[in-house]
Amino acid sequence: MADVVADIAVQAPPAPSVAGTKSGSIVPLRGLWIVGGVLVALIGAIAGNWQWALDFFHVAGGGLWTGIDLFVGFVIGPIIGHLDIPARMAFMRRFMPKMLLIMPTLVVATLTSGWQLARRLGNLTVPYPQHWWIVASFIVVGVMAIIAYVVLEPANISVLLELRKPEPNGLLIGRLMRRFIYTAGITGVMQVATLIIMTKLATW
Amino acid sequence: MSAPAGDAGDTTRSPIVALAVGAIVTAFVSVGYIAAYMPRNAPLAVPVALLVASGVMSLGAIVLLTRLRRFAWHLFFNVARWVLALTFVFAAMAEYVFAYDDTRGTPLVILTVVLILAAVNIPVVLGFSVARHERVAG
Repeated sequence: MADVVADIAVQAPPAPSVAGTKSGSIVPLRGLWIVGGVLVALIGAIAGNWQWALDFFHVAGGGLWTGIDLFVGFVIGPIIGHLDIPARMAFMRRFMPKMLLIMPTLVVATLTSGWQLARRLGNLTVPYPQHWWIVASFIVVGVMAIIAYVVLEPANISVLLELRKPEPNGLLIGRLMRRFIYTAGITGVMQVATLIIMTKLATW
Repeated sequence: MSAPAGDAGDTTRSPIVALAVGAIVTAFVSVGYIAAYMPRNAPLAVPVALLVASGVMSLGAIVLLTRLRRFAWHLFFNVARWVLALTFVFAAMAEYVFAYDDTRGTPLVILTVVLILAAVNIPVVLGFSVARHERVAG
């Protein structure tokens, strides 16, 4: 999403038709049922110590998490950046609320099942130097969590709330969206590192 | 699309964000320190010191937050409650896994404290970072 609306601040056209006031929850409540279903299934997989299900949650969740991150950051973002501003805003208004549900669900499913899988397979207790791969995976997850909680999610929610106003503040939106430029590279490197670490662990 | 000229919200550096983020990072590092020693038991002095530092920074962030005037508290709580729900789910899943795996004693206490610190500070960071941009009359 690097350059999605980074230049809104300087272009700032009159209020587009898509910028109507929207009220209600910032999270799409209907989607919570799906999230609840995923969490119940995840708890069942852990309680049943069901390796196939743990593998499924970790591989599918992690693949989607990494794939969505890279795809949005480096494919969707630049495409949206070339749309006109009302089209970008219309897209983001519909896209961001869904991401508020999808990404945390993928993260919790991936990390919880991954931890459980690592314990079952003995990956957490391997000696050094192999253990460095485990430590590296913790560092990567930590860095991505900090970026998400400190930079990306506050910007996401602020932009979303601003877009729901009758007269969104283009200057603020532009400044917040520049954060995606600064962090897209770091997130990309971390996700590629995740792929390298996880494929290494899977082939021990 | 219109905006008051020159108003880009509050995007300055904030000690509240710095303290809350510092608290999250030190809490995460304390867990990482323990995990790096596995399968051996890690010496607990460093993780405990990190958790104390994290607790102090959390307290500092909350004190500074409560001193704010002309702040969009409604927006803060609107965002923070959802984030709190999210972190609660994360924390509950983590506790469930640790309990399921028979993690007991000091490691469980440290992990629980880390989860509590994260559950407090993450909603503070997100709620404050969003609400600080809102212009409040008065």
